[in-house]
Amino acid sequence: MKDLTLKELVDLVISEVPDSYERLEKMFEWHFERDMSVVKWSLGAGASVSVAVFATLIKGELIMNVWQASAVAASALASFTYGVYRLRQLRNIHRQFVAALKLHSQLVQIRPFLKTYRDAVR
Amino acid sequence: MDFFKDIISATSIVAGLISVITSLISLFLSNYYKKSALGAFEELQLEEVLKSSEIVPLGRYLDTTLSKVTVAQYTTSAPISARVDEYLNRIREYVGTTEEVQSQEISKHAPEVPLWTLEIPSELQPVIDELREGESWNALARLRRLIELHLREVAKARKLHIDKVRSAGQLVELLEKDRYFDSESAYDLRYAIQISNRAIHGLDVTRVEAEDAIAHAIRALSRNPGPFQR
Repeated sequence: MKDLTLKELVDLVISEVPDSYERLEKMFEWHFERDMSVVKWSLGAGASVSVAVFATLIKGELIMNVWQASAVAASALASFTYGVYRLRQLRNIHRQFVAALKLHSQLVQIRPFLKTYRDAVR
Repeated sequence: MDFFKDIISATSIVAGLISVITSLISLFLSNYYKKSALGAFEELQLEEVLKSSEIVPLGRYLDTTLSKVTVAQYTTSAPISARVDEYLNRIREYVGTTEEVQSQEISKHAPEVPLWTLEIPSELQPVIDELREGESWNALARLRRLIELHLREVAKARKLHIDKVRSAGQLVELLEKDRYFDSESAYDLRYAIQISNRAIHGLDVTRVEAEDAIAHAIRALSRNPGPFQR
């Protein structure tokens, strides 16, 4: 989850939200589902266009000129590549979840200090 | 019909280009933010902040460095994860964990030592001043640091091995075993350190407890020759 900063983890710890570990798990679930949607759209779009062009090519019904067919094939490939790129990034999410839990538990151990500091600067 | 096909082709090309550009921008920004996060650690000096014995610089340091690091960077960049782990460990060592602090026994039978009856060493005057200004965290952090520095000097002068000694409490134990302190002085110092640890960790410490901790420290250190006696 690219956007979760350690500062936000500190904020979560200080706020003393009940069941904060479950909240973190839910955040990561949402992020995973959102990213998987993007992956599916990208791969689906790429695959659909590729199959459509390939099918018409085989049937001999392709009535695009060469540059049009090349451009469509290239864009399908780009969409497919982007989907694979996002999928590859997503495989790291379990590591991020474990890291977020670890950092959260370390910050919980110094929660009183963090709260005292925030009170001091308010 | 040709116009329609051209539109479809153009739309496909634009979508493909957007995919490529988005991926490249994502890669570039990821590397840029990683460098930026590492830069935050390099600019600031954790040691200086810990020596300052002030809560605002220490907390602000935590905010400033951690605010630039994401969990994703922590998992993908070994230098960033090493720095974050190192700094979190140092800060946890400095402020203590709730479990450690609460497990330290503070004797409820410690006789109160009126601070106004004692001669205040000049080195401890800033501690008194901060306490009077209501900065009890800063006062007790400074007290603990001064006690630790004092004990380290004494231990070095007595040629004791203190490389692995990390805390003021451990120094008291070491010097007590070496018979530098009698049991009463060791008790006074432990009491002062434990109260200071509670305050630094962020647990509640009353003004009376803070003054009592300072008084115990002064009484212990006045019985034993050392830097405060200069």
